[in-house]
Amino acid sequence: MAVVEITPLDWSRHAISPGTTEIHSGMTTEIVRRCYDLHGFNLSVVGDSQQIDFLDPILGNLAAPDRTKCNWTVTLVQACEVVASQARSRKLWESALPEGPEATVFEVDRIRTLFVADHFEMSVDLKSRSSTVRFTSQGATYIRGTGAFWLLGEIMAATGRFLLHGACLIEIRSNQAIALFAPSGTGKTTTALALARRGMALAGDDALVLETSDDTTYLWGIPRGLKIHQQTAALMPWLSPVLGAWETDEQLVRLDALRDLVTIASTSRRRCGAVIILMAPNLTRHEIKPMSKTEAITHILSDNLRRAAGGVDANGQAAFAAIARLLAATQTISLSLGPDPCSLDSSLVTGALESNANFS
Amino acid sequence: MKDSDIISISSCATFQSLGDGAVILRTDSGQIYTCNETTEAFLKIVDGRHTFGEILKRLVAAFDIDQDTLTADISSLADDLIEQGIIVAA
Repeated sequence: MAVVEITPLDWSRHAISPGTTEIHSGMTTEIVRRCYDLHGFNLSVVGDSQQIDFLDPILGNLAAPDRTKCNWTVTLVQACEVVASQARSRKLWESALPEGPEATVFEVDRIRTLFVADHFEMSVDLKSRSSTVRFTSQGATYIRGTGAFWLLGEIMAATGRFLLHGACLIEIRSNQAIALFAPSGTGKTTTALALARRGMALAGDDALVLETSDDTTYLWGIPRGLKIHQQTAALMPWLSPVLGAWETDEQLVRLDALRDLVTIASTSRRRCGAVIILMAPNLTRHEIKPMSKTEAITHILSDNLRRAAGGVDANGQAAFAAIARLLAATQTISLSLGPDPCSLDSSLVTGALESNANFS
Repeated sequence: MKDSDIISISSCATFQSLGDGAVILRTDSGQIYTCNETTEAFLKIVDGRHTFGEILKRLVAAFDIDQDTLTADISSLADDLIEQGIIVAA
């Protein structure tokens, strides 16, 4: 194994290859690789072994053998500092991350960068189809949160796929995907769990991927853990076997931990059978109605179209077109959950869809 | 709007048919517009090559409505779309 002596603060100028041992200030770090199979698009992460799994909370169930030939490589580099990009970069947006720190997205020469001062910097290079994640010790935890989702979303968009905020359920008989859209905190997880408990299968409750191949639109769910709120647990006592003590009002539960309680779907890509827009709860009963596609798309875009000071960028415009094509090709219904989510049966949804199809 | 005006979708707008209407995105502001099937039919013919008069003739042939009513309605629609920056006339 080659030993490379490097000067302090010089990590980022050395190419990183799996299996290389680098020495820095007396510490050795093995460079390893982690790969993910995103349905024909293979992503690899190369770098410091301690953070190599930073995408696992999102993509862990899609891990592939580390000798997989990959289409896009993310290189991890731990740095002593992360400084702002060059002044000539075009600022696309800036905002505080949900985790707290201020973030800015720059773009220059087809390289888009998410920058969080003193924490991390993630870049997406459309020319070389690669990414670099530079992080400080302070940023090591933060790269696993919103930043990881941003990075994945940008990489997917660069390859014609779109990461959307929504749940992905599977109608078992037809093996078609059912997309459920609703803003955070409005009952999407509760509804998805209810449907997966009674007749459907759950592929993901919070993020799904929309992609088009041969003029057909496919969906697949991101198999990340579910954040189960205490209110959801109160409405669904059958969740208790997978829940621990409530230290906060949310618990993260791995998707496969729910396997004995709900039907879990594979991560396969599937054609979309319907789109459900979750509306405000109904005080008396579950209500499912046809929804016009124009109304449905306004709900979806309000939660999934990123607008910046300069408007909507090329990725956003492409996502807009993809979502429109999805709706043009599928049924759209609205669902208002009644007071007892446990009584929501998938047959109510499939029955509404069949009825809607007969009248359309 | 004159019959001889060439109409095109603004460079700051993008339009997608949904089947039961259409949706328009102003890319410079992020503003979303939804429209009915009549507007959808109109926008589908707006391609930067046809004049307003040619578009009207095609719509008269496609819809069971008298020409005067359609002309008045589409003229009003076109004025609104120009005001919103969705189409431009040259």
